[in-house]
Amino acid sequence: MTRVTVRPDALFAGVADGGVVVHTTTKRYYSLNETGARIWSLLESGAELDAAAAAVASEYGITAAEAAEAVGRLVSDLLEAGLVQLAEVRDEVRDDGPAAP
Amino acid sequence: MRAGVSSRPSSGGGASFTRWAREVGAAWAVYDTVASIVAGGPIDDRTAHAAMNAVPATWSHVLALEGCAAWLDRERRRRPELEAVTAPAAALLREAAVRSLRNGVAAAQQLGEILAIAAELGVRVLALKGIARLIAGEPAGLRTMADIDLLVDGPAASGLHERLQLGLGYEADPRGTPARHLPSLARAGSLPVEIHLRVGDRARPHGLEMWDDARRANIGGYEIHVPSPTMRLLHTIEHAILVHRAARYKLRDLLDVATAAPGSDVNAVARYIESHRSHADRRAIRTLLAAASDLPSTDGCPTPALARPDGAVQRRAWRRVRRVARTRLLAPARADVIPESDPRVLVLSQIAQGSPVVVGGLIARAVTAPIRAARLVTGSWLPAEARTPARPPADGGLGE
Repeated sequence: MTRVTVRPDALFAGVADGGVVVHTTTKRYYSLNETGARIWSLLESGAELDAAAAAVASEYGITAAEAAEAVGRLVSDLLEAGLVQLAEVRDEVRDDGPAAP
Repeated sequence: MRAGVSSRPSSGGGASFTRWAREVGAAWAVYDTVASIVAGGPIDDRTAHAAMNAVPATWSHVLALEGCAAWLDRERRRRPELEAVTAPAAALLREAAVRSLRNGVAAAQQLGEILAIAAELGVRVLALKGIARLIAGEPAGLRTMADIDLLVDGPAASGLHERLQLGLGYEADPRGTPARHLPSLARAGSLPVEIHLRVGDRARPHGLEMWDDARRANIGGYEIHVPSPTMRLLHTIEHAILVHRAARYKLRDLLDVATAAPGSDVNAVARYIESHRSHADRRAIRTLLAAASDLPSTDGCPTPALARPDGAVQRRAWRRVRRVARTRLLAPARADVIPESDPRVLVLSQIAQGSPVVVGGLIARAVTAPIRAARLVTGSWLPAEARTPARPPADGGLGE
C-alpha cells in the first residue's frame, strides 16, 4: 500500500474556499481549492491513497475512478512541488498464509 | 504523573507552596528545553523528562511568554528527535503555526486593499515588523503576526487612518494607544492595522531612519516600501529592548534578531548602540545581540552584523537571558490573566534584568502606592488589558 506523507517543510492552513500550503524552505505558497484542501487533510491525517479517494467519492458524489484520478493528479502536483513524499506501508494485519517455497 | 498547572483548590499553605514549586519546576524545565532547541544545544535527560511530563497548560504558559510556538512547530516537524520531548505541546504548536500562516495570508490580502487607498491618496507607506518580514521573503507560518504595522510618511497618516475607516470598514480602538501610532484599526475577521507616525519614542541618529535605503515592492499592483536589512534589524532590536523593556529577552526576540541580521551593516549597528544614553539599554542590546549570534536553529544563517562575540560573552549573555526568563516564570499561570501582560511577570522580569534605575523605580512605586503593590504581589490587582480574552492564543498574541 502507498501512503503519502507531508514533508516537514510543508505547512497547511485551511482558509475560506480551500487552503494554502507554504513550503518553508523554498518559500513558495500554493493554494488548494476546497476539494484539494479536503484531500490534503485526509492525507495529512494518515489516510492511504485508496481511502482518500473513497472518501472524496463519497463526500462529493463522484465515481471512484474520478476520485482516484483527482487524488492522483493532486498528489502528483504536490510531489513535484516537494510538499509530500511517498512511503510504502506494510500491511501488518493481513495474513497471506505461508510463503511460497 | 504529570507536573504543571493545576486548578485544584489548595488544602493549606504547605500544599500551596508545594504546588507552586512543582509548577515553577515544570515551567523551568519547559523553558530550558525550548531555549536549548533555540540555541542548538543538548537537552539533558532530567530536563527533557520533566518537560515531557509537563501538562500542555505549562507549555502554553511558557510559549505565550516566549512567543516562539510557530517556530517550534517547524523545528518539531524537521527534527524527529524533538517529537517526544515536545509531545505535550504538539497540538498547540501546530495551532500556532497554522494561525501564523493563516494570518500571513490574511495580511497580504488586507495589505492590497490598504495600499489601493494609500495610492489614491498619494500616501507613501512602509511595512514594519511582521509584514515587512513577509514581504522581504520570510515565509508565513514561522512567526506570530498579530497585526499589520505600517509607517506612513508625514502628515498623511491621519488621512489614511480616516479613509480606512470610511472605505474599508475598520473601527478605531483608542485604548492603550502609544504616541508613536494612531489608534489601532480593527475589523471583524481581519488583522488589526496600526498606522505608525514614527517607529520609536526616541530620535534615531542621522542616517539611521527607517526610510533610508528602503526598497520598493509591489503588492497587488500597488507600491509599498520595505526597510533595508539594517533598518529591519535595528527596528527589531528597538522593539525587543525599548518598546518591550519590561519583558526583554524573549526567545522570539532572539530568533527575530538572528533572522534579521544577515545583510545588515555592522558599523550602523554599532553606531545605533552607541547612540543610547542609558548604559543599561546599551548593555541590554549587546546581551540580545550576543545571545542571538550564530543561532544554529535559524537555518544556519550567518549573522555577520552581530560581530560574533567570543564564547565567554555569548555564554554570559545566555545566562542573563535564561535568568530573566526563569524569574518571570516564578509568577505561575492564571487562567484569567494574559501571561505577557501579567503585572507580576513584568515586575519580576524587570527585577531580573537588574537595572538599578528600574529596580529603584519599582521600589519607589511600592513605597508611594503600597496597597496597590501588595495587591499586585498577591495577584489581586489586575489591569484590564491583562485579563484573558475568550480564548487566549498560545503564541504571544499581544500586538507587536
